[in-house]
Amino acid sequence: MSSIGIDIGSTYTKYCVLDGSSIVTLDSEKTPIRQKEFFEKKTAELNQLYPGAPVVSCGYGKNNAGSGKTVSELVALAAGTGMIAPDYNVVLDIGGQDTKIIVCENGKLKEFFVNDKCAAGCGMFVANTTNLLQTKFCDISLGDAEQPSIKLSSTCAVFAQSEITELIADNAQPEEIMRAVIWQVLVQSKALLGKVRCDKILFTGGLTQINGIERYAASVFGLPVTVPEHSNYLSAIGAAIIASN
Amino acid sequence: MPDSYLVHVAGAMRSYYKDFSKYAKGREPSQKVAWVTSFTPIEILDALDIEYIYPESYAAVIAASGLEQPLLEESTRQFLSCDCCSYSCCFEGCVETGKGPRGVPPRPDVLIATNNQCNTLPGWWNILAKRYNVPLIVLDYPGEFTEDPIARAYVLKQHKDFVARMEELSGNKLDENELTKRVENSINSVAAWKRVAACLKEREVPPTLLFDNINFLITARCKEETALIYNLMADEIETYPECDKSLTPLFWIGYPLWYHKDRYLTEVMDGFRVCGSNYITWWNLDYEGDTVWDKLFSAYNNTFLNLSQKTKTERLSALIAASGAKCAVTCRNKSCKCDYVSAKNVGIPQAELEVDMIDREYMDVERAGKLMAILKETIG
Repeated sequence: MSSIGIDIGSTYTKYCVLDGSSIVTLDSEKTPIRQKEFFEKKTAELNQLYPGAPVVSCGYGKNNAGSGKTVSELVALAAGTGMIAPDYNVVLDIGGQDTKIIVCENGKLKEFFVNDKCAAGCGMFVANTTNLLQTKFCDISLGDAEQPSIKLSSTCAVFAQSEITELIADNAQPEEIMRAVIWQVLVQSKALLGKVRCDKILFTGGLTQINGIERYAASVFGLPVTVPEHSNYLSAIGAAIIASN
Repeated sequence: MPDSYLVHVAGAMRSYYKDFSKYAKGREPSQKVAWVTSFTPIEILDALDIEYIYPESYAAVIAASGLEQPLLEESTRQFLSCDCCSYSCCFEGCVETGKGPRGVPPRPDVLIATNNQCNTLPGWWNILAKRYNVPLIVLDYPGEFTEDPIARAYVLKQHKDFVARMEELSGNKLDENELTKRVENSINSVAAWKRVAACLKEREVPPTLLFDNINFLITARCKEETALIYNLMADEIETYPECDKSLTPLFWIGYPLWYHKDRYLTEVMDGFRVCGSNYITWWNLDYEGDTVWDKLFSAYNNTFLNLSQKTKTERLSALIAASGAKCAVTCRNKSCKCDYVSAKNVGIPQAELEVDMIDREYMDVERAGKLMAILKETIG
């Protein structure tokens, strides 16, 4: 029996179709603007492809998903972690609009901490910097770097943006500026990590698509960091698991 | 007709604020006046017939009256950044404009700050000392960080010096029997308050009642009538019906939201009931020891915020466990991080809400609602 999970994030929407506990498909697309109309059509299409498959949605736009149950993306993330990386109970998820730390156990959410106020601690800061540097998110690579050669002194994304403009004027290398920005995002997340006890971290969310992020994050946090397979899909997978239950 | 605590509450409030409106018109107080922080050994002042005023408490009253916004703005316009303690901003606005819900407090003859709570207070009192050109006394309580015999001797010396200076100010000589009586009153007030606070776990008691009425333990703990008020209150609320056990028991970590009609976020707490709060235990001071000086040392050296993080964590965990809470709200207070920083390893699911105890503009109810919804899902 199939089940469908939809994670409607601020920048991307992720889909997961499960057959029992096997992943059938994982897919993603840009989250559209007219969400209600779009997702009603989308769920109708999915229902045609997978007749009778229950749908569970999560994420910012979950209430626009049309039919089916909705859950918090954190509950879904815990469920997804339980399936993909059951040995981990602390997950750091850096998304476009927020950063979350969850503590989970056997796929169940136990504790959560969210930063959705500080832009310097989330993926949107990186996305805005790609615009300033006229580069693409998919082209960002940290390589083997463990820390940046330049560091931003501002802890606020707005002020950091001015600092970046100055760095551009000083002919700093775009790759180095980007490394400094990502470093800053991770440093902001570290404050949230201080709220939980952990000896290793599972790192998920959009930021994990960056090449070399695992080593870089480990350097900031001073802890082993693992980016799991399907790291950007854990909430969608979790939603599908919840749907199947 | 049985004696109701409400009659005594009204009397005590009248007594505390009775001349504030006259002070606003320039009337001079009949006694010497000290402005104090909320963990000052007021037993000494009371025994010497010195009137003591709590600026922090009055800031809470101002917010509860819905008058805080123009006063916060005035304070920001004059000199205090809105990032400062909002108790200080609100109170500064009040004394600056001469406007307050009950008037203004009498002008101080002395300022007494203690460092056994938030360390912003000595700084704020410093500003006040310059404004009023009056002496500032800072009582330093080393807390758990100094070994007991040394700390005890250190605090005793300060208390004795403090008495000497207050004798000089008031022109009265301290009668140790009178001081002992005040300390006994404080012990009785704490015991009676514990009876009241214990009801929150099992009875249909609105937390608002406790958030509001702890005021007497803060401002009048060494007065005889405080224990009377609390015992009458406990007699009454111990007969209240049992609380609705189908609701999820929740522990409130942080200040009450003084501007809110219920003092906490009732509008986002469907399905939850507040079964405990650390705020309502803060003034459960432990007056232990053989002599009155030992008792004062024990009470004021070992306030919650003066403990090590390890002990704070143990105490908070014990409080939460005793309350039976399954989850918590932790207030991430804009202008006071004492609670937030202290609340480490709470051990139960919690929703961190960005709030301020005075400034209602900082509240985002929609966001709080979202976090409470996640908390509800976490509990299952």
